[in-house]
Amino acid sequence: METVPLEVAPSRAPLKDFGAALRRQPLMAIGLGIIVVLVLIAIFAPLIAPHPSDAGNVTHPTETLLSPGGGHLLGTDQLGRDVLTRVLYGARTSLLIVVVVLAISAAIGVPLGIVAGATGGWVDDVIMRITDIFLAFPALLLALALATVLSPSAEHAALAIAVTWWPWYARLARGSALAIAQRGYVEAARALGVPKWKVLARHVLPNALPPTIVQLSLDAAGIMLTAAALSFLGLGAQDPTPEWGLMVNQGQGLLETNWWVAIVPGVAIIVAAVGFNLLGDGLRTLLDPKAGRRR
Amino acid sequence: MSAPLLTAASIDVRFGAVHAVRDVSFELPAGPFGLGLIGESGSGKSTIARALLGLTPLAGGAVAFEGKDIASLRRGDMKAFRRAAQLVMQDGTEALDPRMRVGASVAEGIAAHDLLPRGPRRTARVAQLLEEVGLLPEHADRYPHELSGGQRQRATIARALAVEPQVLILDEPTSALDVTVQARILDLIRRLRTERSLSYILISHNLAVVDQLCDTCLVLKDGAVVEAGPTAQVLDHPQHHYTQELRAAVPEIA
Amino acid sequence: MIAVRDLEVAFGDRVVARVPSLELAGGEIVGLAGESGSGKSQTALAVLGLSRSLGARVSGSITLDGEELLDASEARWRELRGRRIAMVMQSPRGSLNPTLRLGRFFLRTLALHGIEGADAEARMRAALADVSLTDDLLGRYPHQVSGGQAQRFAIALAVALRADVLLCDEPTSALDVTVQAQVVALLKRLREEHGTAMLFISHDLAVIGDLADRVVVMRDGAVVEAGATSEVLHTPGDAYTRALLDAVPVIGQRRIA
Repeated sequence: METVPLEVAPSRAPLKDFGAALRRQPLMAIGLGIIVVLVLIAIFAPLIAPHPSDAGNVTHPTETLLSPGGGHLLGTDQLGRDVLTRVLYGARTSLLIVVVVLAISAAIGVPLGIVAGATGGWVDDVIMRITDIFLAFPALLLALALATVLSPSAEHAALAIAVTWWPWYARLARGSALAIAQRGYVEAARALGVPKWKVLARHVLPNALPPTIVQLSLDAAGIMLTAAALSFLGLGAQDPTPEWGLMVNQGQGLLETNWWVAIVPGVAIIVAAVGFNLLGDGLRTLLDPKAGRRR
Repeated sequence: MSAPLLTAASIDVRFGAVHAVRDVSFELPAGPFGLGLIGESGSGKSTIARALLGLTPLAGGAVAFEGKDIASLRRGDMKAFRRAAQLVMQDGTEALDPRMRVGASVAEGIAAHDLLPRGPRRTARVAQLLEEVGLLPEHADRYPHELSGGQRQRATIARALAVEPQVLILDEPTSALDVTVQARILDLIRRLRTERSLSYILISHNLAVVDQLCDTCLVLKDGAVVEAGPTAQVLDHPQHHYTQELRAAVPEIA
Repeated sequence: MIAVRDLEVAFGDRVVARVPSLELAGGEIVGLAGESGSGKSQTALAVLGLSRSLGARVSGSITLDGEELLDASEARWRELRGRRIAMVMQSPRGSLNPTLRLGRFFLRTLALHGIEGADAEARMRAALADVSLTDDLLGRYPHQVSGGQAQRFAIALAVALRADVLLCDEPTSALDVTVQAQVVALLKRLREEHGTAMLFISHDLAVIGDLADRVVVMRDGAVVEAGATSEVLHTPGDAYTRALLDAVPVIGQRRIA
């Protein structure tokens, strides 16, 4: 029997690859760093915030609108609550909304998209028409409707956003599924007698995930901004929930005199959005073998 | 002589307005036997392969396995057919899932038909199959991109053999490979033919490859059969002008 | 016409092609044979001055009628590419602009090299006739013509530009064998009628045997054998060349039944 030499050295560790990728893309490392910090803040907010009770339903009439410094590093708002504390707790609200919206969107959109793309025919048509209908809803209008029917809150805002967001994932997943359905290994699986659902789960889904993951990261920033906008309009989180957009709303009338009330949460929004975007851009370059090879 | 294993009876395949396969008929006897399908692009050869395996619907005619029309097969029999007839496609078409290790790909059929439980017995069988096609057991842990084109083609063959098929359909199995690698794959197919008494259909645009591995062959043009017969006869004494044109166009080192 | 000496193309510290000497005279077809990774494509790219843009280091000497090209300016290379040294690639539509109709693309390319107006039109029609393509092709887009037609179109472009040297990198590998025969016949005719010098790269020794006067066999970036085609293919000196020749399936040999 002829011997065929092993061509490659032992399999490379994927973790080392990621490390190398981070080194090659400092911007993505920065994005990842920001998000990691954000997550840690969200988790440990009660421990690191100087005045944890200020995140709740309290007022300190004697300490209203104190400028940054002393016991309140970033000042206090109109109700005397510590801005730094509320911004730190705000990370929880924002991240929670982002995670909930992304989870719902992906959980609904991806399976629908894959089934549509891989099955074709009338199934594809029906699913795509449903997707189109939901695409037609602007998040703001839906949030307004929900706020009118139910009560405005961070949860309802998240629901409104999720309802308008999942169609994008359906479309994305469908596109991937369409392309993957043509590949040799999918045909081979069918020829081997692998049941249809298993082909979808084992071959189509894992290969359709990378673009989805990239999209998730890029969308995080958008979702956060949308939630902030909804809160800013009064349709999302309500006082005393600490939410960055709401805080900007509450401080907008005081920009000239007590700038910190609006600016600090505003900066938080920007930093988080930038972090998600950098991470998403980096992931896209990482997961797309053809793009950015030279970087 | 025993009944043919696979029969194509006047099969017709259409894609919308395109008549890809027209009234094609042939029989594949039990092994060891090789049937060649010779054709250039647009000849319908790959479509015929998919139709034979029931992967593409027929617009007319029928495909029979051991005498039974595969379109009329019920669930259980259809699954048995999927074991009996396997497809080996060319490496260039991403025949192996890039996200699965080679061993897992090779074992896919074993899993689908519950031939062996997951565990040491399955792993041993995969190692055995890899060695049979000229790879090493270590290749099971590799990903497809870590293998060369020739090695991937061997893995694809191993995957097809894993379910112990009686019929193998090879669609341009060496077209994407260097000539020395091709020669070794052809040797492998020859060896498998003898050792497993395989019956196969070899699809290729390369007349010399068909000549080396097929007892009989069919020449296809625009979806229809223009000539058929024992390979030596078709290639040495072509009757149809298209076959003659094909034969004359093949450059040879004088 | 083209003389290559001690050419070395490297990426980092990996040498992908090393050619001690290669010469192309007018009206001569030299075949560059080898499998993947042999360095034959890299050699062709070096002769077109494209290696550096891919990040490779090139050393040695490449002369065209005595003019040293290795360190020539990019401007000089642009003058030469297409005009004096043309390339036909494996992917038939690879060198065509998918958004332009073929006729417009042809004339634009000629204009880039200073050939315009009535002269350009005349050359285009003559070149198309040369490659047996009809005028109605001019109104089509690249995806509307077959692979063989696209390949002949690319050759026609070289003819119209009166390129003296044609580099062909696996031009027929993606084509059906009958179409391949047509393209090979066309290349032979070009050599007869226009005296074009050609470097024909292929993994197919039989095609090279049919077409080339001399052949250079490469393996893993190095030249293993070179000489007159009939000699190398019938009495190969190198073991690798012999292995290559043995591997080529021939109709009538090793029949199974």
